[in-house]
Amino acid sequence: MARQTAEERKLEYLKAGANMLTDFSPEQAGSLAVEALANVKVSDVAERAGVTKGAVYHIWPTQEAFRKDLLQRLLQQNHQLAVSGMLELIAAAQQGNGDPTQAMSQLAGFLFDSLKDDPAFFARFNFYVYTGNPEIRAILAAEEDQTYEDFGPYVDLYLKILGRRFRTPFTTRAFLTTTAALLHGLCMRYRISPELTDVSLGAQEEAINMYAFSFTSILNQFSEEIPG
Amino acid sequence: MARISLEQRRESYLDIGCTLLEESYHSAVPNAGLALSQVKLADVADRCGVTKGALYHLWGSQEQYWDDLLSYLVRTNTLFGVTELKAAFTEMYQENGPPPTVREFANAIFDSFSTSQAFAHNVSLFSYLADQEVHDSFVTEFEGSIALQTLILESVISETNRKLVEPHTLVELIVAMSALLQGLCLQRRLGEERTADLVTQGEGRLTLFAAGVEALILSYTEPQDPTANQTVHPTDTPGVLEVALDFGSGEPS
Repeated sequence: MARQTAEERKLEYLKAGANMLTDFSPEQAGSLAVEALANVKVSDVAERAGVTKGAVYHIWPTQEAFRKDLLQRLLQQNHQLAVSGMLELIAAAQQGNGDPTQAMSQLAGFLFDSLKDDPAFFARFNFYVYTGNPEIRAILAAEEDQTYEDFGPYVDLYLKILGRRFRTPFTTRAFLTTTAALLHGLCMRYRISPELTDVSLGAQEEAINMYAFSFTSILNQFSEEIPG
Repeated sequence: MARISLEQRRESYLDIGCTLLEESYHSAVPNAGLALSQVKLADVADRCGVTKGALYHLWGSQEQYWDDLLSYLVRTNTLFGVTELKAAFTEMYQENGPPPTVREFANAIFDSFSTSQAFAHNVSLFSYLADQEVHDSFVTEFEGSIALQTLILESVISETNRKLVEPHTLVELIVAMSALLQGLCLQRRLGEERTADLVTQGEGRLTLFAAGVEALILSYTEPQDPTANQTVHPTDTPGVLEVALDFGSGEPS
């Protein structure tokens, strides 16, 4: 074998590093730190709180344990925001306040506007690199499942108010997965090119954002009027 | 001062953690300790079957390796990029059978992206958006993707005798479709069953991505001839878009 140049070796080592980002052996899983939050250090938290590191370590045995709780906290925050927004709109629709056909699109619009600049929401994307790790995957998946459990019944209720239902082969779950994916993707794109995603559509008063428009499109296509 | 309960302290420390994260998010300084920090020189050496010394011979420190790794990922950043889209495209036209429909095409794109290593690398770059070089690579790569998708969508729209609904633009539709693709690929990383096909059997196979694409195209466009305007009834979806995508030469330039 010809001797590799330093440049070739360098490339080989970089490739190996890049692959390690995605290949994750199960043996590593146990020892993995939640590194995506690596810039949040227990020592900084202690300093900011004006306590000793020991005081923080009294609560979490390790830095990783702290970061894992922090991830869960971040995921919950966004979730609560979405749930309370949803409940308000559903209540208004049930009382006949406002146009019920607009309620869902308003909620979608509100979600995109509140989440697109939210660091806590954005932080989750750092973790997808680590989805080879079953533990991280479980935390992220649990949040998605929670969304489904919390929103599923309301989406069904909302469709019922409109006299609609999901049509075969579409399901509430498929709808929520698709629209959650769209929200994630648009928020990511917003971070790169805000001008491409921060588009307001329609006449001034009824203008809705791109997520609201796409959300409503998908809801309409995935559902049908209940006959009779 | 009243004694603060353990639970309260726990909460306040988590609050601070959120604040620190927010500060780092707004900071212009990319933090090499983010997504790449799991890649330790010792492990790289292990993987490559060399000594740590061999790597330290090339990079003075762990941090220098991370810097180079980041640049490497930037150079090879090809998500939604033209490479994969073209690959999916060429593959579909290889056989001498009929050209694919919108649905088949979307299914193939989802399969290609969701399993691509490039997609995973791309996700790891997201922690580094504050880095101008990383940011620019995302912008350039998406511009290429818009150019290619524009050709494909123009053909879809004209073949189906439809036109864009005012005041929507093709770029908007492409942004929405790409966002959907990216989001669904992330969902798939949490478990294949999360993006399970809606219809699995053969010809009628329908992925979530294809279903979303059909919904978006139908909302962003309307029939060319308004008198023939049967408002597209949802159940008509497959029929309306069931055109073969024939680009003549078999490949967009």
